[in-house]
Amino acid sequence: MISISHVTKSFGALKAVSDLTMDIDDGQVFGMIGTNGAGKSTLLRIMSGVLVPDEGEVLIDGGRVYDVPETKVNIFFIPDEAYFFPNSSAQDMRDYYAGIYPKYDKERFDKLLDNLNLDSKIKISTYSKGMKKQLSIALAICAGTKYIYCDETFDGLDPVMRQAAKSLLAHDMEERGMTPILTSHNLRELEDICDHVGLIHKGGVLLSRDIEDMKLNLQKVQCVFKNEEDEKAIKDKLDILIEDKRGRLMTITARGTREQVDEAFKGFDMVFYETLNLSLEEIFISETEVAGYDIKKLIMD
Amino acid sequence: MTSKSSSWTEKSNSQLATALRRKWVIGLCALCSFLYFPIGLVVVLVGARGRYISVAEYPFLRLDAVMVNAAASWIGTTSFYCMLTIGLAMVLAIEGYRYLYKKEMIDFYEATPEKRSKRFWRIFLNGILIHSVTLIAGMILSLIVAGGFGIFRKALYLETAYNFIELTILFIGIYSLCILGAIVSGNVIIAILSGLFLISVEFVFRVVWTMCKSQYFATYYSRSLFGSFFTSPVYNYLCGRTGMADNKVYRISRLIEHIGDSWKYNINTIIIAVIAIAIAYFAYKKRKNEFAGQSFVFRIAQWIVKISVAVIGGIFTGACLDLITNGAVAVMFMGVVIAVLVLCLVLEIVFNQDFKALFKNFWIMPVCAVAAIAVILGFRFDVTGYELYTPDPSKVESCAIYEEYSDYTYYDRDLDIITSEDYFCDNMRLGNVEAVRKVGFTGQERRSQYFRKYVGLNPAKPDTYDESYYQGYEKILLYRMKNGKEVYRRISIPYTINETLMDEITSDQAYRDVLFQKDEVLMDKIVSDADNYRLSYSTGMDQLEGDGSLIKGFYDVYYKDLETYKYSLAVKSKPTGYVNISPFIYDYGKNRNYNQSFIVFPEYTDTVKYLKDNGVYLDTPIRKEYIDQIYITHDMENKGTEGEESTYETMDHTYTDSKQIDEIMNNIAFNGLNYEWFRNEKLDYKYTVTIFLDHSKKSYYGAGPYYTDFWKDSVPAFVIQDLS
Repeated sequence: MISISHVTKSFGALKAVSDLTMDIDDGQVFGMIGTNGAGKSTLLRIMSGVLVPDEGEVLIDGGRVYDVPETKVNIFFIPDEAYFFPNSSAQDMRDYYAGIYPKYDKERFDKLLDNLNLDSKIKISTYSKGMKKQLSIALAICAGTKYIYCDETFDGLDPVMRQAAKSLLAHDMEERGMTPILTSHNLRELEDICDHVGLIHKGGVLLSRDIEDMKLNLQKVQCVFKNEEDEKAIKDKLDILIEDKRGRLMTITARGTREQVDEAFKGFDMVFYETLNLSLEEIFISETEVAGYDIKKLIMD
Repeated sequence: MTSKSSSWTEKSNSQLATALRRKWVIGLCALCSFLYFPIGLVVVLVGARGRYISVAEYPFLRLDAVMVNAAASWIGTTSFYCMLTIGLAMVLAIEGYRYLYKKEMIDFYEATPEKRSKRFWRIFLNGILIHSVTLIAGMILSLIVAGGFGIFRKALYLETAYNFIELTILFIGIYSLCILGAIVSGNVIIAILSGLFLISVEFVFRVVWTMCKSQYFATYYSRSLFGSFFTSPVYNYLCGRTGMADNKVYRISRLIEHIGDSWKYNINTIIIAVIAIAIAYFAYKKRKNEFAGQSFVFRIAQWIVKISVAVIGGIFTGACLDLITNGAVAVMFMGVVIAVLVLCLVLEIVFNQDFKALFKNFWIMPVCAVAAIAVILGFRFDVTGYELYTPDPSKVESCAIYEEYSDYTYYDRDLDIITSEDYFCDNMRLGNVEAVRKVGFTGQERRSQYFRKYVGLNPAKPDTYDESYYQGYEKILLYRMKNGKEVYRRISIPYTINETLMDEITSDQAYRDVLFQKDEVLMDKIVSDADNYRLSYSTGMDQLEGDGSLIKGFYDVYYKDLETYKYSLAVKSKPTGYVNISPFIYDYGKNRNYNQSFIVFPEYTDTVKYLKDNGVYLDTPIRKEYIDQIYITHDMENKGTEGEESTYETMDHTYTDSKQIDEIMNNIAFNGLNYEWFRNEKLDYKYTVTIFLDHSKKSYYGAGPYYTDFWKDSVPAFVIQDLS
């Protein structure tokens, strides 16, 4: 488990991470969402031992990270701009990492590259941006580390590759309990990958929840009541987060399980009633609007 | 496999892997080494052979000796490869740690499971290995090339091996300083500037400091140009250079001498390297990765660089302007302020890489300007009392007074020529400190007064100067202090100096024996090889020769007569000629190259008798029977009335009468007259004596004519009368 406790990091006058406390459980895909400059990358750099926090600490499976190889051997960090040695090929990079990570699986790497249609012998500098991202993921997956940090690695990948990457992560999570930690400034990029999402804003955590929990406990209903008394009555029975009425059609987002919400609507005489699936985006909008944030401005653009 | 050997293998693999990621640097080092050593040596040897055959450049050496010397000077301890080593050290240092300047590289390296300290030392060691391996490969190839030219000399192999050690020490010194520069910097440009700063700051400072001392202090003197250095591996490397080939036969003993001369400088460099790398490591541990891309990681480094450059630049500019304007204070002040201002502004722009940062930290400018002006004024007014400083006699172990460039040649016991200054400083140990101090102080005062009145920074210099100020002996005064320090001053001993005081100093055996190099070991060597030497008596116009068998007897009588030598004798006496001992044929391989002259005063009665008895003494500068006629001119000054310039008139007369010629010959000086305590005023320069020889009887030196002068107050009456 990764335990982040009261971590603060400033760059001069700029406070990039501010008293951030958060736990990341093993065996799940953790997504970190936030605008550019929210502090995601700084947090990842602290978590990977590149930066030292001004205050607080990061413990990975109980161990400190900065300058502790025993801890770092369980981490692979793919930064937003991955570095490759000048004039190197994928094979060169594979060999470099194989010399550093004891569990590095070279054979798997070669197979992966074949599957990804990447030539392992040509210079990486000839790769496209997307190919470099694929290579980074392949290099990271084969390192055999328990944690993989991907800083906006999935942003901009084409859907096929996203699916392939997702499968790779899923495979390793299942096989050896790997925990990927992904960041993005766009919620839609992580929607179909993450189990747990943390929303980072101005260096702090605005929200950190399991997506399934959020989905299970938040329901969106569209309905048309026959009379206005019933409309008022349902509001008393539900913990409504968002309410929207267009003509007579009401759209309500409320807390509670599907059963609880259905139960609440029972007994009302309605012209129309339907429960809709909430997207991750809508869940975030719902949760953050309650806290007074306009989430669209934060992560949707 | 044991854990020790497994660790070794791991380290080797790690170094190899690191090196393979630095292929272009390896290529650069290999290229430099290959071009310089094997290829360069081929060019040098072909050139040396060509010159030997076509120009006969080294008449006393055989071709194989010339080739060995050429090879040694190229690949031995005097090689120019040091220049490339300096450049490569900078490249390897900055390239090795450049990952600290880029965020993506920092993320790449710092996230990997390797201790930071391990990474630091891995890169450090890798640079040394790359340089060493490529250097040694080049050197081995060059020795193979030398073998191809028929040069197989153990001494050359040893010298090359020692050069490898010295170049490696130089490399490590520069490399460590540049690593320190790289670690405190946030980007490559600042790292290069920091490296250059660390390598050169003390050198530049000492150049400026020495320039100020020599410019402002009349009595300033230093044997080594910049004194001893501590932070400059380049200076340490150059200080230890003594040419082993140096136009002479290549001997292994020279290598041993070289090691003896250079080891302390190499130790200095090693100390510098250790300190620099220790500070660099400490800074590396403290360095925060988020500073990548900025100018300086540590603010203090920025201040050190800025203040040092601004103050040194200010002092330099001020001193130059003082010199150019002859001491115009206002110009100097303005120059310092402008120089400091410009340097501060430029540095801020460079540090911030932003033109708008021009006036950032502007307050430091007046501080630096004031500091620079204070230093210059300190020199100007000699606030430390440097010029007239004389040490406490109780703290002086011994002294020396000597001429900076003596006309005598001095030899070590291997019969290699050494500089007169080295010889005096090593051997002249005068015990009469009080007498030396009195003479020294008089000389310091005289020089200081003369300098301040006529030479130094004085806008109100008189148009003409008092000639009596000019008349003096320019000497170097050395006090050897009991604590091991040496204090030097340049002095001008006036001709009016107290003779008794001077006699006290010069009649000291420690003075005489050193001045005339009475060295029993050396003399025994010459005497034992006397068959190959000759003794001659010369006046510069005529010469008589004797064989080497006369040498021992000459040494005996000369050094006995030398006991009468003292200042007053040298000043008053009129020497008759000099004895020269030299080999028939110079042979450096057999140490047969001693060539020494001994001034002969008529008061050296035993010497004169010995020379006469053996037929090697000339009573007059040229044997009279060779003389055909003597032509004398007399320059007379007709002083003009007030406001008019003087005019000169020349009278001349030719003498053919043998009696007149005899008298003239008895009163003229011989040619090449220059010896310790000689004064020009001993000669009468108003008369010029031209001696024409009988063409049927050429003197030793040829047919003449010869030009000389009368001794002062010795112009014969008939000459005065004829030419007035």
